[in-house]
Amino acid sequence: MRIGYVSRSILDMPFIIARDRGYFREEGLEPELIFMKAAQTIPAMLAGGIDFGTATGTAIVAALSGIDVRVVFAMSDKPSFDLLAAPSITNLQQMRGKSSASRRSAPWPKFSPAQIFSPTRFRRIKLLFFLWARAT
Amino acid sequence: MYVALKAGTIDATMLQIPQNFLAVDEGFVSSPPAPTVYRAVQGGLTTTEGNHQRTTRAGD
Repeated sequence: MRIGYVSRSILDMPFIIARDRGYFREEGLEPELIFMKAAQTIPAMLAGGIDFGTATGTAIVAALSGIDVRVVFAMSDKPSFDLLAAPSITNLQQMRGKSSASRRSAPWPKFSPAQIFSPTRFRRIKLLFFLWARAT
Repeated sequence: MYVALKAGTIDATMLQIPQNFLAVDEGFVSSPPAPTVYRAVQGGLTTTEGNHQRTTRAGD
């Protein structure tokens, strides 16, 4: 069994710990964990290169596009992201006219502050997109 | 982006564990807590429908 994992964050850490501490082996599993970009997990699964991927956001977007993938389980149903602001900003109203940044490549548009604030009246937030570079 | 926030290049950004905790420790403010604003499924396992059916049958 091959699992494509996409980060070394807390969300994928359980797979790494389970491999390193033998929890998979105790269940009769010997998965090979392969580090890859989230966007690569879908074509890799469809081509049979991997059996599972950990990029649930990417898979949901793909499934909504009609691609034959599904989420087997989710690690969390709450976002692990928070909006962090400069100490001078004590409420959302003060975000008006301020600059924020987001990953352009994020598969989940809801990770974008612009998306979070779009239903609200805080639409004047400047949003900068930073190119995401992953250290491999 | 945490570096950009610390440098003052930007006023706010989305940060994930552990950077969100580190940022709070360094005086940045988190408002409001993201789970109160939106919900999102994160992490877990995905597979193809075909593989899911095969593995489900194998487990029966």
